[in-house]
Amino acid sequence: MSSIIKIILFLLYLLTISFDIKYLKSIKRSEKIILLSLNLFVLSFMVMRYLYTDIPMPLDFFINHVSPWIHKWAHSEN
Amino acid sequence: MDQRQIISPSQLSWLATVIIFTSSQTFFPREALYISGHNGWIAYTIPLIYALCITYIFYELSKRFPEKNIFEISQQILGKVMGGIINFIIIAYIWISLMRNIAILTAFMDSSILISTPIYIIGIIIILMFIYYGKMSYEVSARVNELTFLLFIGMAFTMPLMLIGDIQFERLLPILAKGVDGFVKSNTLTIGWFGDIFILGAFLHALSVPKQIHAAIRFGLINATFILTLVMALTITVLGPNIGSKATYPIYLLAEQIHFTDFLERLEIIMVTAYTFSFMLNMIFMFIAGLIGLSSYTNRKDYRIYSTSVGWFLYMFKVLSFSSITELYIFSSYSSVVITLGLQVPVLIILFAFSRRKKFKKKQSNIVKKEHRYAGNWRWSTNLLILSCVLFILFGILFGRLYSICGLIAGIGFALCLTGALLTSFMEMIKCNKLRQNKT
Repeated sequence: MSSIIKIILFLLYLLTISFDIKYLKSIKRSEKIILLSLNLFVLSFMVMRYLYTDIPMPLDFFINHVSPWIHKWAHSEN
Repeated sequence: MDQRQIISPSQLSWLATVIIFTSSQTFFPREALYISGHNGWIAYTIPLIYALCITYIFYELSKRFPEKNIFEISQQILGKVMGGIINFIIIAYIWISLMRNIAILTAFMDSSILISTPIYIIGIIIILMFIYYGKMSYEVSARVNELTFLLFIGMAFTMPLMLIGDIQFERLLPILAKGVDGFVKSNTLTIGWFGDIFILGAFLHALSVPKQIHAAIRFGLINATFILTLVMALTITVLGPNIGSKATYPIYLLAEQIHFTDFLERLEIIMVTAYTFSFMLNMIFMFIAGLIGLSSYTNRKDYRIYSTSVGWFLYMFKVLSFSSITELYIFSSYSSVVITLGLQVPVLIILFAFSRRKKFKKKQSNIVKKEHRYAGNWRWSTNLLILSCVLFILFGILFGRLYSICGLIAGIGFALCLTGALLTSFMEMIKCNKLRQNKT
């Protein structure tokens, strides 16, 4: 993914998020916290992706440890 | 958005079929054919029973807590803190399955119909569509599914006719002569895909009659199993187990074999389009289920406010989780079953056990108790036919290796019982649709 595409994605993200600003006035504090934390995750993921930083993801455990174990069982000859 | 959204039993049933069929039809047939060879068509029997057990638990829950979804039920049964933890597990399961499905569909579209389009553009298109549908009522998605389902089911049921010239029945022989090993392994791996039916727990409040929920999901499941078995049998008879187990997308390869005349070509494009629409609707419902779960933390019925943020969160999570199609393949083929059993089974056991406490039992109304016996003949016929399917397979596995005729009898018996179960479950759903009609 080139840098230009990443910037376009970021702008698209900002555009879609801007449509939700109207809801912010009418929602509860707990809902604001959920939304803020979700968007913080998205922004931090985007920055890390832009900087080509590897982030350990929860699914890596399944891909690297669980799947080979099940694969070994499924393809073993009895 | 209306606070009360309603979907009909038939819409719920089509939804169950689409959820089970679409996600398991990309990578899984290859794995089933690799493990079970020409007996790959038996890979859906045990998962069907597992999914029927989930449906039964949903039915019991909706009987005690009518017009409430699984998130509301868990908070009511277990309290705010424990209920919140259980809801977090359910949301995590839904989002993991959704990310897997987004990655599968983008990979499939990238290598079949949108070859020149960059994969992240396909991903963005899918996510923007989720955000759009996430801002609407799920009644809209259910109606769209009703429209595309016709095309999808029409294609699935006419496939044997369209491929009749290429079918070689001898490729299925000797039936069930490979022993129990392939049966156990392929069925275990398929549970990972059939577990997707769990997301329907988020829509239990959309129907007010528990019996209708039960009958609709049961028919949807048996319908999906029937189509999956049919398509798998076609893959074996047309492509053969060797080619099927080596192709990345055996179903796409199967659709490519359809040739009517010289001027009616590329029918696979129409089929893939119908399949893609259905797959997207499957994911839209998963997305909305996740949104409903998230909004349950703040007791808000309107889930629209989370649509954009969750959409982008899932996109970034998906991009960072699967760096190649190999990672996606090994994750979806082998880890799905561990995630499904590891997350679903404890949640279902806890909810089922705690919902049977006396204080919740009192809530059951007399109408619901009476409705339990409604269409009982059809329900028991379906159960017996499914049991017969399992018994025929066991008979074939035990004796098919020694006497090929036993395998053949088992195969024919299984096909007849599954078709019978499809008909009886359909009749049960039709009968249950009439429940409480006079009162509405």
